[in-house]
Amino acid sequence: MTHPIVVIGAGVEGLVAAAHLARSGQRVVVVERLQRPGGLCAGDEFHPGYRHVGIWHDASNFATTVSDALGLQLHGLRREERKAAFVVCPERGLWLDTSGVADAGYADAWNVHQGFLSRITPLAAGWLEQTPPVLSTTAALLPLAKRALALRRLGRADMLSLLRVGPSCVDDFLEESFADPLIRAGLAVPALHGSWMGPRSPQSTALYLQQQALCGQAVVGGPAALIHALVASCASAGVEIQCDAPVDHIEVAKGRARAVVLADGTALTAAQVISTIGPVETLEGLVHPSHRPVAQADVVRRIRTRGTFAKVHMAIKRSLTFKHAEDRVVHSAIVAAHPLDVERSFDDVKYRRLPRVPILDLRIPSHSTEGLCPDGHCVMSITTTVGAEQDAGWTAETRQALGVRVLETLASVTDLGRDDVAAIQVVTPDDLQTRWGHRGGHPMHGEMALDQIWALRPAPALAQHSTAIEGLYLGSTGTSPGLPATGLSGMHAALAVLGD
Amino acid sequence: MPSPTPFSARTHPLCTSYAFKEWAGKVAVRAYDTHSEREYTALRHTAGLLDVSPLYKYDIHGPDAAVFASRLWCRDVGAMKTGAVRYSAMANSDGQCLDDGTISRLGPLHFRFTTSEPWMHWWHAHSRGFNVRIEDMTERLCALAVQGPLARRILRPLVAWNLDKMRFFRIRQTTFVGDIPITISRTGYTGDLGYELWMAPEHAIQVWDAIVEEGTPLGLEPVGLDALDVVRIEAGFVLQGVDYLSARHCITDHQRSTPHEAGLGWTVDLDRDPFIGQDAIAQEVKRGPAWAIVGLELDWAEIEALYTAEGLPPHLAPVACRSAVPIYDAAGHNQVGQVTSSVWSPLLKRYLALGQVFSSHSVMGAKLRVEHTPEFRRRHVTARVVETPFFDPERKRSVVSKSREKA
Repeated sequence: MTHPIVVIGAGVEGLVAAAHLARSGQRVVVVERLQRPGGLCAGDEFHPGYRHVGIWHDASNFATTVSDALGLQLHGLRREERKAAFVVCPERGLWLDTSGVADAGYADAWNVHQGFLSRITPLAAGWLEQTPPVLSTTAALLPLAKRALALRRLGRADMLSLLRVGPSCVDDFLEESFADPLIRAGLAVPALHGSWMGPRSPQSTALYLQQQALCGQAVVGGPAALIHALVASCASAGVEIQCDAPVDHIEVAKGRARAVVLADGTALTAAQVISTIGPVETLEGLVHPSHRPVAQADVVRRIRTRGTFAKVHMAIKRSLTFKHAEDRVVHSAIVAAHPLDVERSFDDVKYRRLPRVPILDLRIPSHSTEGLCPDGHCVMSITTTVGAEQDAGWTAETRQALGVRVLETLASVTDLGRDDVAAIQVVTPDDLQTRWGHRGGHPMHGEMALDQIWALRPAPALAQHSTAIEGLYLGSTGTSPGLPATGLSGMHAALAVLGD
Repeated sequence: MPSPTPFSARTHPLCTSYAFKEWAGKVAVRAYDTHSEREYTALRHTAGLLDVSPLYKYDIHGPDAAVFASRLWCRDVGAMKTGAVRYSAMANSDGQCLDDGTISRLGPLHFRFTTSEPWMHWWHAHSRGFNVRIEDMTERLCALAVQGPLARRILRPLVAWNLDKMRFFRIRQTTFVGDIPITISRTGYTGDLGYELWMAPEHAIQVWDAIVEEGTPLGLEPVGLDALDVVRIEAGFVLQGVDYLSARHCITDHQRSTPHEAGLGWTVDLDRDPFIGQDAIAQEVKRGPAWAIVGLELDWAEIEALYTAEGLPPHLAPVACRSAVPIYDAAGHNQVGQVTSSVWSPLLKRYLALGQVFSSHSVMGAKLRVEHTPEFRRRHVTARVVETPFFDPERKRSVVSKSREKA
């Protein structure tokens, strides 16, 4: 019997890779360090009777090409229009959709902005949805030429605009269309999650455009439902998923990955290995340094993985009302008054302290999904920006302080009182590192700067998902396209295995 | 400004010629007399005592010391046993030679490297993930080489370890008279019987004095670098900076050499875990190295004839020549390489050279032409590719048998 392909990590990318390989007739074993599959997209009961739908609470990046290829609709995957986000600060609020911005007097600017995005994003999506081309002086030029041609076909005006704004800061780019700080904050915040950037950081527009390019319809039930469908797809294709099976190391002999050795000593001899944990964690954490290819050792050392992503879950004993939005149900809200406030919260990241005023990007999954909490109660899923490194360290006190600041910020824009909260769960970058194994606490396993995206993600030599260790492939979000829960990294890694 | 070594208090007063040079930031004696002949003769007939403290020395400690050492050097040095020494080339990831040096295994988890250049940054850059501690021992250890046919006789009463049993390229931590802790290795750069002694600087003078006292009646002489340069060519040893250039100092590709092109291909163990330069060297081996370092013997009769034609007696520089001289094909039309080191060997009575030539011209016995310029006129003389080492006495590697011990 031939040896199976071993996939390390049962997050979205790992499950996609496994399902696709199994559907192509390969024998696949997935090993997962936690008790349940899902990684950062797994739902969990964070307080008795209250569930969240994933540390990463948005699955709208998940590529339709991947769900079609895996037949996920047959396994219960449903998608729906994304609900408009409500951008709010104590003084005012604004719905981030056509009518909302029209009310604020930006109907024309909104149309121009959306028009630009609608012309740019198909190009960007076309680039990002495929395995990146090889960038080297000896590589075939045709794939690059094709992409360059697509860029040129945008027409002179759009092409120059794209080249001009791409490396710029997102707040400058948005300010060209919107003087209203609430609109700018609302658009910029979701694009910046997990990155070492504020809205005034160079290159942040590139991040915004990528996010716009890949963001599609929402998944009904959120990331947890996506995982459910992926696990079902894996099961029907015959994938074996071993949970509670942390990997100790990858056994390499003569430059080839031979086996995945678990912490309990079990060695799973592998035909190929796809690692969907981070590239750095894989090549530095799982491969003994004496087996590491020399050429890539230095490359891996340079990959930046400093996390800035924290998550707060709140179990709330009643339903909430947002200020300035009394007439509409809020599913999704961004709490930020001004892009400069967002920038200041990034300053706090740089200066290794908790945000003085946290910027919140929150979802209320219990408004759209039943059974997450008792009737009449609600679950608040809040993403915020906090540096992995804190001068005070990650202690029980700093966690609690973060929870309290988030609670206070939330209370400033809602009718929430301290007594309404049954429980607060704080997930810090430190937890991402220790519990989920994300090096540096980075949710995407690597900074999304221009030097670490697309054909440079995580590094030029690793961008095609194969490594210099024969039979070892990388399929995490640490590889292109890099946005959370697209399924594309896992799919491309699987295709790389099948192609070799 | 170069600084003294722990032996300078002894070597400098003896250096009546004032012929000093800078070696790795230290003051080193070129020749104690105006000519190095006396020192050369000692090296080949009795023994020479040489201060080799300026060599760069690094200690590697830790559970990963062996695999780390193997990754840095072209040779699989991690596989050797405690007490062994190996000589190896070191390459960068493009497979170009950076340096050569010796690697000693002092313990299961303890290695020592000696190199001609400082490499702390290099060891450090490649140590990520390895459980090792790297220590620069350059200033914390000084070293003496005792080289020559009588080296063992001189050191035997001074060293606590039985040198008669010590094999070639072995190392041992032991004591010197007066319980001075030393490390002794049967290594050297002379191609003859010889030892190198490594010690803490505070013991330097005591060790020097004891060796001089024991050796002088037997003909031991302090020797300088000029004499060493002659014997190392006789031994066929390439010198970094002369016969090949470290890739770190090179500007053009033409200046860079791979280990095979630097005559160090024999130190490369290809089929093993990744080491720096492996892929590039493997590709080079597949297509064949472009250059080779060869030993050459120049035709003395032709040289003599050139001088005779000028009405002069044959003239030879009194020291080894390090200036590059063109090598041409047998017809003398096309340049096919360059001589990098050459010397008249007083012992062998042959005019010897080391040179880098196109691989196609490196076959044993091949006839080439080397430029010679008596009275500034460019002439050629015949040179033949010959085996190195030019001088390779059996005593270099042999151990003392019981019957000969008393002799």
